[in-house]
Amino acid sequence: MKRFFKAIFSWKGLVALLFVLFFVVPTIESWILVSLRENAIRALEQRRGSRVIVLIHRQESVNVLGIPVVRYINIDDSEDVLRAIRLTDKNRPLDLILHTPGGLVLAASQIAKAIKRHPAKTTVFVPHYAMSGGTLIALAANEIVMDSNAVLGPIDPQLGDFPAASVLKVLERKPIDKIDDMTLVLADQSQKAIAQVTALAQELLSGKVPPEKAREIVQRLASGTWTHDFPVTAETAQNLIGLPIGTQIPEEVFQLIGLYPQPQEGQPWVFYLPGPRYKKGEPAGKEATGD
Amino acid sequence: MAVTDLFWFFFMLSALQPVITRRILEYSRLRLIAKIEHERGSRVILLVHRQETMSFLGFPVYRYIDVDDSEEVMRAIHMTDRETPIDLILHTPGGLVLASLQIAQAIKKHKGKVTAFVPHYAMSGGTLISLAATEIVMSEHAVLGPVDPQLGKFPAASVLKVIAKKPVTEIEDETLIMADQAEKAIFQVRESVKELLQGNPTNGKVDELARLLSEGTWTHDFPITYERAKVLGLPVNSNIPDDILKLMALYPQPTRTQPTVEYLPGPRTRREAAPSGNG
Repeated sequence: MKRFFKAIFSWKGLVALLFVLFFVVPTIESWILVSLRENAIRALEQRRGSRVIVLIHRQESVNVLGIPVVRYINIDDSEDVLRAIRLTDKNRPLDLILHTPGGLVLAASQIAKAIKRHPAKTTVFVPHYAMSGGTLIALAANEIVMDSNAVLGPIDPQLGDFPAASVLKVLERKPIDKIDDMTLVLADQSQKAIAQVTALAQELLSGKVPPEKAREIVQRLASGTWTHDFPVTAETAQNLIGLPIGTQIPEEVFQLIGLYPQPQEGQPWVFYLPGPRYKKGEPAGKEATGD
Repeated sequence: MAVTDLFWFFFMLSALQPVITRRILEYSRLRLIAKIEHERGSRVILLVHRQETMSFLGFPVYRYIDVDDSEEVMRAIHMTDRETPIDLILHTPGGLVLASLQIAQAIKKHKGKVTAFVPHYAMSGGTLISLAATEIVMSEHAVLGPVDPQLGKFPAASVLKVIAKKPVTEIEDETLIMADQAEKAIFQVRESVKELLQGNPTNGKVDELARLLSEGTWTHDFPITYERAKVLGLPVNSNIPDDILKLMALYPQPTRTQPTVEYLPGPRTRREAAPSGNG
């Protein structure tokens, strides 16, 4: 033991020790984070008696070249989610926590259909945002629970850079022999894409709202009434669109999402001292400290 | 033990760790494939395309059915006795028509029963291959896709729409060139589909099926679910063996900085059985 300490406190030993720590500490840190997440998921599952699935897309950037990697709902995600649903008993409720900018229609529709088909109750929690494909998935759930500041988005399909609905507008406005050939190609795809998404969304809403209402909701969401990044708040969703929406997100969900940090690079852009704040003078912590 | 030794020990451990994990994964894959082959008395061939990211520079590499794949599959079929059943497990976004057709035709010619398993998705070229199988086994939420040919990034069917809609004098030459190719491509794919479906139990819907799948009835990424495939008359069933689903989990996404989907592994039963069963 003595020799060991002696070796460590030598100059060479210190360098070696630092090196080892340099390698080991990040690993240990990520282990801790993973186990914290697992505990949070387990706690939520136990309290609600459900299966909890988390679908979170944070925009990361690659370290070496700094090229931003955009994360969205892709086939691997849908595969993972479906695997989780397959492992869940038919009578056990499903809680899906969504935080996503959207993604491939194919992948999102696979998830949405699987949720629709789950016999037990399904709940989608949107703590911050679930645009496009995320909204499509939310439509499939028995209950959508959003934070009062969270947003959904329109589900109108996009072809590459262009919204399908806008491509079709060209067809309406311009005489056909003046329209570029490629625009016509896009227009044909747009027509099909909008029809398909509309049919899918109506199918997802069937049984929850009357068909008449479903048609109206889908019309609003899928035909390019708004731009694709238009924030549909809980209030808008409830009043304008007529979606049934809850606003009571369990505190555990927020804690859980906090455990999926934005990968840090450089300085943080948002900064505050952690922990809840109450009105001045009031005793701290009845409800929200929650652990 | 000198502390510098400790350093080298860690260094070697972290260098070897990925290699060892990969070996273990490979081994468990092989074992599971051997088990499935033994149980079903068949040859198992996997065609799995995961979208990979090169770990170093982080450029996404898109994988699809190419000629190398068809060559490999062909080799596997050659090494299989003509009467031995083949189980083809497909997980692919599609790919080259040439490669897909080659595989499909080789499967069609095989004497023994050929089963295509689609645990999650087999779009486009993948669907073309599964059409050649005697039976398509899909999991409950798996999807197939239309097989309408694509010219570059344009669907052939949509290019033909331009010709149909616009006066020919106003159409660009390039579009007309593409339209000619589009016509041929669609015709070829349609005829191949008919050929592949010949003799399969499709309730005499071969012509209609070939037309629907190859003429751009839907967009190219349209999900043809199990139910729809059944309605269309494809020889599908949904009894996918658990082992095949397990096998797919052994083909993980190669590099992922942060998981986007997370859940606690292990099955969940009704409430009373508390979730103590973690993997």
